[in-house]
Amino acid sequence: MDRFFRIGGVTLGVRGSDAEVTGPLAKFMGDGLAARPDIQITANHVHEIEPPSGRLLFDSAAVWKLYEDADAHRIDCHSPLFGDMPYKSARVSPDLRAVDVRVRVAGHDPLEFPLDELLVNAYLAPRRGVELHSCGIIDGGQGLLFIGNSGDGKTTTARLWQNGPAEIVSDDRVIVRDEDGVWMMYGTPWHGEAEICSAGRAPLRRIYVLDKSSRSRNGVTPLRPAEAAARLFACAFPPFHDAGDLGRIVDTLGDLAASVPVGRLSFANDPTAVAFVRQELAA
Amino acid sequence: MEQTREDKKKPYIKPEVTRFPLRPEEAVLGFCKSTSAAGPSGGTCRSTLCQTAGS
Repeated sequence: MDRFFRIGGVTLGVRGSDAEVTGPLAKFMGDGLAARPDIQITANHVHEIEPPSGRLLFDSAAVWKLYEDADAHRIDCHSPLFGDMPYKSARVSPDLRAVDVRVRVAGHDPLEFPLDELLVNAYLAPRRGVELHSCGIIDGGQGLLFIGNSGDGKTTTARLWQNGPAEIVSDDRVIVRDEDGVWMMYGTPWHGEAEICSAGRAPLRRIYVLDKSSRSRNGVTPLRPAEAAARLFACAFPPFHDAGDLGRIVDTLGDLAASVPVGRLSFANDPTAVAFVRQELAA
Repeated sequence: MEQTREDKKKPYIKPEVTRFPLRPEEAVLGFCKSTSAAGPSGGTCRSTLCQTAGS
């Protein structure tokens, strides 16, 4: 039976997998999402996966590698648990609409990390969308994005907002898309330490660059678009293997920084930080 | 009153170079972020192969 997931406004259809869908991804599952998904994934269980014959295009230096594969691409996923042979390998059509996944591990969800994130990111790159390392919060219908790398305070921010009426769409990774001139923010299943995520979406009103240099007081300093775009890029997951899409991501982030107010936010680790942001938004 | 070309000029701002820290190990999606339930135990982590928590 086909399964459908919708992440960041992208519909993924999965065929041929009987793996149980558990955890955060289950929140992004739905019936009848689309007669024709944006990305159709077909899974097959195999015992062996042959070595790639095409040129290595990108090595993440960790769990995945990208190769040329005739007129398509091939993503091999590795784990130390399964030796040198990839535990799954995906053949991806050039337009990203058809993905054949071979899985060596029984019960393994073919969409499982890192393939889900790689596919959605690659799909969004030429379509004015980008995933950002950030905590996303919907407060009173307004989307607020708190960006930062690991250790900058995304989880802390999520916990500060957690006890109020706001919806936290992710404490770690959020998708932003330009939809007919409106910048929308989407939750993703890819949560962080606080393990908070939802499929919520909202128009993006503010972006805050988390600044941990002053943790005792609340304050915001507006950033010029050039600096804002650079800060956004430093928190993005760009496709480094594709110069064209890399350029498109830079363009998207430049437009985003010019369209949505971006400020550097220092914050106290207490509820006054939430009140401060709400006050700043209302001003 | 109509503005002259001179009035419309923006003040000159000297270009400056600012360095931003990039973290390639995070940016390439090399590691799963969900550290709470590493391994095939399930929990909130949906990865059955998660031995690579990092960043």
